[in-house]
Amino acid sequence: MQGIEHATPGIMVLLAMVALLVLYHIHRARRDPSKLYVRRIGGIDAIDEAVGRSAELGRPTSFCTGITGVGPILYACLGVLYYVARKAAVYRSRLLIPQNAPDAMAIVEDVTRDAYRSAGRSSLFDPTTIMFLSEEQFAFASGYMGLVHREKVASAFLFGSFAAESLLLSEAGQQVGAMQVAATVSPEQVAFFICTCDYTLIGEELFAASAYLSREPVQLGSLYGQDRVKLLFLLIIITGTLVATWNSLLPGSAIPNIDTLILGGGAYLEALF
Amino acid sequence: MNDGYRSKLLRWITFLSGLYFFLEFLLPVTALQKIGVAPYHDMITKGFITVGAMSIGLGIVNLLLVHGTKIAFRRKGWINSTALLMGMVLAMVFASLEWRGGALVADGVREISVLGQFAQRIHADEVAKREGVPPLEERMRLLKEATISKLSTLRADVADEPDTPARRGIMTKIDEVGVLLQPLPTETGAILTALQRIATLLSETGALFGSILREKEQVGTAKKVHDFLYNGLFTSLGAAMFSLLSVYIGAAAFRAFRVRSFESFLMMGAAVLVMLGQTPYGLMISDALPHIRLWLLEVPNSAAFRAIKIGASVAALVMAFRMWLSIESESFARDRE
Amino acid sequence: MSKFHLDRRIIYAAIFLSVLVPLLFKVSLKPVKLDASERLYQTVEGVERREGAIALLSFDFGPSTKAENEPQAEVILEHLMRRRIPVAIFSLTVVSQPFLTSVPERVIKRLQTEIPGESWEYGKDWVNLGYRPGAALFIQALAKSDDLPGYLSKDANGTQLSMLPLFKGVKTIADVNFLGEFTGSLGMLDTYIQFFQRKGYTPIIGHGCTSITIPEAYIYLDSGQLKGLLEGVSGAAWYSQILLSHHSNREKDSALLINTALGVSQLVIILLIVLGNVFGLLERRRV
Repeated sequence: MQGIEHATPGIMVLLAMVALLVLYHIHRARRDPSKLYVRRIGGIDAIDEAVGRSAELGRPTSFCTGITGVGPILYACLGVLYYVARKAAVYRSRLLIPQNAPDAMAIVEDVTRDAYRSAGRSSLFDPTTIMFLSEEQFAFASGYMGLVHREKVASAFLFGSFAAESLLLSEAGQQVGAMQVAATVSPEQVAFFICTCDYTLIGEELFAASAYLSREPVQLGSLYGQDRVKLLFLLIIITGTLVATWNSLLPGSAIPNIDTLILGGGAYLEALF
Repeated sequence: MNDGYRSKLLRWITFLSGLYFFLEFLLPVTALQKIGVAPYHDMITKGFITVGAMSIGLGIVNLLLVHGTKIAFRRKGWINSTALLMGMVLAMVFASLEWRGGALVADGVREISVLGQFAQRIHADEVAKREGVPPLEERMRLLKEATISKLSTLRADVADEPDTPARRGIMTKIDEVGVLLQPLPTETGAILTALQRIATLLSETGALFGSILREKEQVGTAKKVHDFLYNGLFTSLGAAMFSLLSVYIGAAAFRAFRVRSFESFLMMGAAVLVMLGQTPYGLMISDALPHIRLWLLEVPNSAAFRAIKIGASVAALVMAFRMWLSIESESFARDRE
Repeated sequence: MSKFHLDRRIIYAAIFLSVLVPLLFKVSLKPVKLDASERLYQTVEGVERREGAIALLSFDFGPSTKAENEPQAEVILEHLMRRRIPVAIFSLTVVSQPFLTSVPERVIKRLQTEIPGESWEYGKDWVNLGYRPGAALFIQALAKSDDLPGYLSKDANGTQLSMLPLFKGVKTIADVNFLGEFTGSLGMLDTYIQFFQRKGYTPIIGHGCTSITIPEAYIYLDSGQLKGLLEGVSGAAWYSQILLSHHSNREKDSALLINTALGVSQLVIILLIVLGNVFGLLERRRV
């Protein structure tokens, strides 16, 4: 397969289909969000339980977004953070949000402030609870572990991107007896979270959690759109496999392989310009 | 500027910035050249990188706010906060001094290598018969004056240095450049040959001088303190933190890796087979273990990982669209309530 | 507390000793043959040596993953240097900067001891391009550049790349006949595979990863986007073993030692898993 420098007509068509599917379902969700069903995920129900536990024990809750920078994963985490922060505000429970990325921190602070405001508890919002620890992975892990041990958090949320420090973070929570709910798109870290956390959301359940908790039309609609896009890609994969198998059995076949269809055609665009 | 204008402005900036990179991917290079954007692409990219780097300032401000408040009001843990801020300031100061030392070394090298580049440029222009450049004789005269002046200074600078291969090399090359320049050749062919040789010699001289400057910088206080802070503390602490994983995984293995169902038995079995398949001891048990390991990684593992990766990538693509079109910000908009 | 409980400190001590003892006694066993490492060896062995073509190595690891990534970087760099393929080294992470000089200098010193009379010159055989910020943006711009030395501008010492013999004749990434990427971070490899390509050119990529990211790297190996893979320090150990078999005077490096110690600790972890399950069973029976 030769390299590509720019989009081909096939890629443009795919991108357009992805955008249309998502925008259509967002439009549908805005019209009537109740028509869009999202299945219940066990870990999400644990969020209420965890925040309530913190309130009962009088110990803080921590919400860690790991090494997530500004990007799609952060925005997925913010949906859950908004919900957790609102709950914490209602229960008057302290919420600690250690941060790894300074640019993400500004957005996190905004979202948390909004959550407290929407709960009618603006005065309880303390910006110093959103603390920048370090951009360096293990310095961040060390800071988080110290924070969890000093503050003796009763519940810990680990939502976002994590690398090798995932076990350090979750083990720290284990050691202080915190109830832990984790969600990550990094499949390698899921195994560590399953061993050390009470509930773990795997892969895209992180994105689904945000939509499930907020019932917000944009998030619900895009969740539906994502699923339709995945179906589309599945169809392409199955078709491509069948075509490639056919072509390998009948070498003289005139049917082009799917990757040639999608990735070829760049020359036409170049000729246009 | 009220909130309405502010959010509109932010949305437009987000959209236009995203549109630039989107179009840059969609359109072929010829289209970008026709629009006139292609020559500026590098500059635009570096601009975005620079803006991203500025975000470290946000972190510093937050550190000062959180820990400064603790110190000012003597809250719980203020001594730790003092240590943190002192460490931060110390690291910043010595990292800046170390960077300055490196910059001085680079300046010293550049003063010599720029002459080599000039020689190369004269050679290239003469071979290409480029128009609009000063006459060859004049350029050669300027090159000679600047080179002799610089190399005299350099000779004086390194005269007191210890007798090392680098110093001897510099002296030899200075002498050779002097022979080539005095007198200047008159025949064009000879000039071109001399220019090539001069360019090479000046580049090598710059590299050797740089090595001498770097050695001097190594023994400077700023470098020593910086190396202690970085190699002694930061590197060692990072490795130590990572090594904690090994003991934690041992504790997790004992506490949590329990076989409670058929699926977890399969998972445990696969884990043990993969571990044994890559250690030297696995071969003592069976020669088939590495092959079983390879099959597990190539077939079921790859299938599962591909599926997860496709799903996560689709979700990220959809989320990226939402961020670009600022649909995302509606979820957290101030005027939502 | 249950009588089937094992104090955490005993577990910590067992792991600690399992790593320490083999390192102290310098126990070095022959590593397991790993196909992915074999493939990478054949790939590097087959890299074309021609005027105006270079290999590019990216050291994207820090002190934390140094134990796995540094031996990988050393063996690949050593192999390229033995084959006299000019190498340019850079990094996308700021913490990797010290390795950009320490690794090549150590490899060169070892080679010069093994092969007296041979030398590897800076600027001709290898160049340190230093830390390059920007990650994905940098790789994208690098791939699109028609003047690689111009875009990269200077090396880590401030020398113009146009003055260095290594970059003579190098114009675009199509002149990079091998890209080696060593990292423990997620997403780095994806960035290279996605963006380090050009019309009519796909690079030959070799990857050195930590054990955690092996499963993810395998999907690219399977699809052919990676031509070879060093799977943690075990991969580096097998690569080192292959180099030893071809060069009998070669000194044994740290990869073989670390791999042996790692093997012992993995056996201890398997033992802990079995023990944990046995204790759990006994506890349930007691109840």
